[in-house]
Amino acid sequence: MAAALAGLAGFAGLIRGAVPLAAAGPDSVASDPIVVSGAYIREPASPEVAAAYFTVYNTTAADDTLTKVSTGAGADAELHANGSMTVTPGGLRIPAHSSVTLSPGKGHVMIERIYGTLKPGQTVDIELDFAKAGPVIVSARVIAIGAPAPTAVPTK
Amino acid sequence: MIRRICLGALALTILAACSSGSGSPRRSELNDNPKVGRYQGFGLVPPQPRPSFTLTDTDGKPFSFSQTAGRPTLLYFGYTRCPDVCPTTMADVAQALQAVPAKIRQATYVVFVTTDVKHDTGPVIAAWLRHFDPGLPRPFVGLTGSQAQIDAAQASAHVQLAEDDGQLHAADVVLYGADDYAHVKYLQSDNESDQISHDLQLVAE
Repeated sequence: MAAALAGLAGFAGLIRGAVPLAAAGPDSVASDPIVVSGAYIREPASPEVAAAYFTVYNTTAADDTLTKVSTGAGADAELHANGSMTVTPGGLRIPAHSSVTLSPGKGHVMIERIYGTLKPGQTVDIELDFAKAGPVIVSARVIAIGAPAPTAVPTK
Repeated sequence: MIRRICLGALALTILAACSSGSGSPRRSELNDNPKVGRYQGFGLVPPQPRPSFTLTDTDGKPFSFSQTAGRPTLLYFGYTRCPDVCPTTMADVAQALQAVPAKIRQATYVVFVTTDVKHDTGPVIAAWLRHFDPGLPRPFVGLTGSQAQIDAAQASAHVQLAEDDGQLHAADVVLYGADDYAHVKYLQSDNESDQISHDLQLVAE
């Protein structure tokens, strides 16, 4: 069981677009303009709201902006970043050749009015829309309340 | 606030030392306090006494915070519809308790006070807390009350008053020891369970 979970964690390290979970390796996506890594949702204790965390890498030489987030897991999704717990006005800037990490206290995608329940082992697809790179689909794995957060895989 | 004043004083001391060019700068009051260095969380100088307030528990019965006297106690103000900091903090607290010796685990109270009195009823708080405390010998205590009661409780614990229906709130976890003083607290917890379990063992007896 532990080995199976560890395998899942490995696969979930780097995910982009509609690439199947198992096929996405850290090196297979290095040429994409935007790479999202370490995406997870902690199993929500509230039946109403959950938060997704991830790291966004901008591999290009120009700044990009995460302008919009959406998901089918709940009725609403909002981007909260820069340590604020309200919608980030103007989106989140991802500087050229840099990464921005959304982590507890710093930012998240808030999913409100969750449909059904979110349990560990499930994955939630979240669409991130970037001003230049366009839409990027992220699969965020639901982890148990007490589980350690997955680590983002750095790009070269 | 205490911290800012101390840091301000330290900065002035350094400036004075630079301009006069004689003698070594005085050590800050923070570093002079031998108690502070023991803790991995944010040391409180002076220590804050355990407050006394009475709120309503998740069964609708009065709960006096004084009944935690003499026991290590972790006090936190937050709200259940909080997506981010509150559940992360409660998970950290639970993890910290799992890591300490059984005797301390059994003695320790965890008290969660809602800042969103309109939404967080007793049953809502109880259901939320049961996600964090399974396997722990002492269920987490969940408290609510009138807005005035919650405000007074925050003030008595030296925690900044929450605003915006409780959704803009301080992220402090205050640790009271068996001596009924808080020597340390934790801010904006992001996997601080190691620090909490370390300090809990220092203040538990």
